[in-house]
Amino acid sequence: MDLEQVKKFIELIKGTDIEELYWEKEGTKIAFKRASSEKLAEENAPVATPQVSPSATTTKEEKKVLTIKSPMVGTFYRSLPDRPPLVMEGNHISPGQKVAVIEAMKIMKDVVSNLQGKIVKILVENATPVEYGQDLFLVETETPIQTDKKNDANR
Amino acid sequence: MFKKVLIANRGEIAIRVIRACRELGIRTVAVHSDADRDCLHVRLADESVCIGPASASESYLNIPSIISAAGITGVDAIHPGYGFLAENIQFAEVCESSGIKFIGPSAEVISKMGDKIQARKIMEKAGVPVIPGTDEPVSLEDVHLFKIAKKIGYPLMVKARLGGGGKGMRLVQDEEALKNAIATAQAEAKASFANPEVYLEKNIEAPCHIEFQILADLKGNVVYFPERDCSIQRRHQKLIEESPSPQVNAKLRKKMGEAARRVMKAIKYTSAGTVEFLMDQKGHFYFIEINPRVQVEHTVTEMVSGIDLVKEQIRLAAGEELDYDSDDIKIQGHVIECRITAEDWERDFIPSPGKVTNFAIPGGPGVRVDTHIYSGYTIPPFYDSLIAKLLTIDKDRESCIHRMQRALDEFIIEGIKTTIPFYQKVMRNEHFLEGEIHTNFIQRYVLGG
Repeated sequence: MDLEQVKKFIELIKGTDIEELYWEKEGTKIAFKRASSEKLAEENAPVATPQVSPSATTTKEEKKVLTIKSPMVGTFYRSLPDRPPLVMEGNHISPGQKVAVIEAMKIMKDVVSNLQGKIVKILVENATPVEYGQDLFLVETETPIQTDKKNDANR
Repeated sequence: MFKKVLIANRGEIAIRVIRACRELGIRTVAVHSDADRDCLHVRLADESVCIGPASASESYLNIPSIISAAGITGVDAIHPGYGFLAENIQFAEVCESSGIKFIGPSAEVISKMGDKIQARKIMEKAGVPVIPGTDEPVSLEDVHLFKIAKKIGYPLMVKARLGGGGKGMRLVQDEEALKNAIATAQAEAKASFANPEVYLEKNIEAPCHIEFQILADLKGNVVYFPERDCSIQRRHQKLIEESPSPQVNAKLRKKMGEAARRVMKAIKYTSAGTVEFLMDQKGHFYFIEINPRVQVEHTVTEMVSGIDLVKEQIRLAAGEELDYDSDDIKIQGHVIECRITAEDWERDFIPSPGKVTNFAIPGGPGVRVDTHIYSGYTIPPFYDSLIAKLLTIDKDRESCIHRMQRALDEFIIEGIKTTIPFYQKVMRNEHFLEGEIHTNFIQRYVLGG
C-alpha cells in the first residue's frame, strides 16, 4: 500500500459518516478511526445501565467497509441490456442479491453480493473491462454487537 | 505484423514469448492466476489481466476466461506457449472463430496428430518408418489378441490412442502381463484423455530419442534444423537435451531430417513443430510423434543454429515466408541444456515449492539461462516444477560439458531444493562423457537401478 492509496482512503471517508474503516488485502492491513468527542459520549452511554439484559443493548454498530469482487474476467455491466441499474450508491444490499453482471464471450455471469450493508461506492464504470478478483463495490457492512466487557475482551 | 499478442501461459515460456514480441515491436498482454500476481511474466508484459483463482483449470486452462481477457485487451493474436492449451483443439478453434490468430498450427493438424493411430497411418503412407505395431486399437475380446502381440514380439508397449508426451504408456514384458496391462492402460487412457482406446507397439530397447525442429510456412516450405538428442529422461520426461546428437553423423542427419520434412509436408503442417524419432542400437530410426507446439527445448536449437525460433514462429503466424532452407543453417557448436526443477532429486524428485531466498544465475561466454525466478520469489505449488533452463555452447562436446560443469557450479538457488546437484553428478558421469546416452541412462548409471 503506498501513500497515494492511503490518501484515497482518507478522501473516501471524509465525505461520509464512516467512523471506522478496516481494510485487509493479501496480508496488508490498515485501519482508520475517526476521532470525535461526540462519538466517545455515545460509547460510554450503554455501560451505565447494568440491569438491562445483554440482548437489548445493541446501541453501537461496528461498521466495516469491505468489497464485492469480480468472479470473472470480462466486461462489467450495472444491468442487463436496456434495463435500469441493479443497484445504486446508497442502496442497502443483502447476501445473495444480484448487484451486477460480468460478460465474457457472450456469456453473462451474475455478480452476487456476499455482504450485508450499504453500497458506499461503485468502483467501476459501466461497460468497462475487469479482472478476476477486481474490487467492484465498496460496501459498508452492518454487524450489530453488544458493548459489555465480555465482548470488549474478545475484540 | 501483429499489434498486440496475449500470452496464454506463465513462467519462463511466457517470458520467452514476451521477449520475442518486444523485439518485434509487438505489445504484450500477460494473463495470470491469483497465485501468480508476483510471477515475473506479469511484470515484464505491457499489460496484465488476472483471469482466475490459483488452480490451473480455473485460470490457465479456462478457455472463456482467456478469450475474455483477449477481448477486453483487444489483441490480434494469442501465443499458447507449451503445455496448458497449446495443443487444445477446442482452444485453437475458439481463437479462429473469435477472429484471433492462434500462433501455432491449425486445429485440424493438431487434431490429426493427437490421434496416434491415425498419425502412424499417415507416416506409413509418407514412407516414413514407424515402430512395428498395430494399426487399429486392440480389444481384450479379440480372439487374435495374443497372436497379434506375439507377431510384434515382447517386450512391447501398450499406448493410448490420444496419449503422447510420455503419458499413457505401459511396458509389457511377456504374454502373462498383457491382458492386465491393456485393461489398466484403457482405464488410465479414459481418465486422462477421455478415450480408452489403446494400441500395441514393439518396445525398442534402450533407444535414443532424436527429434527435429521444424518451421513451416503457409506456402508449404518446410525447413528442418539440426537434431536434438533428448535421450536423457526420467519416467519419459526429458531432463537433458543436446545438439547435435553424439549418435548422428551428417549422412544420418540428412536422412532423418528429410524424413521429418516429408512428415510435415504430408500433413500440411504450418508454424513451428517437432518430429520425434526413436533410434535403436543398430541405427534404425522410427517415427513416434509430432509435437505441434514450441517446446521447452527449443532453446537448444536456437543456440546451435543462431536463429530465434519464437520470433520466426510469430512471423510465420503473421503470414511471412521462410527465406532460407535447411542447408543454409550452420551448426554453431555443441549445445547442452539442463532443465532445472524445484525438486528434491534424492527423495524421488519430490516437488519442493517455497520461497527462493537467494538467486544468482551463471554467466560468461556461451551460457544462457531462461528463467522466471528471482531472489525473494515464492514458487507456488499449483504448477509444474520447471524453474530454469541452463544452456551452454562451446566448440565441441567435451568443452561444452566442461562449460556446463562451470555454469552449474556458479548457479546459486537457495531456500528450496533443486536438481542442480543431480546435473552436476551427470555432467561428471563417465558414460555421459563417453556419449553413451539412451533413455535408460538415468536409471542405469545415475540412480543406480
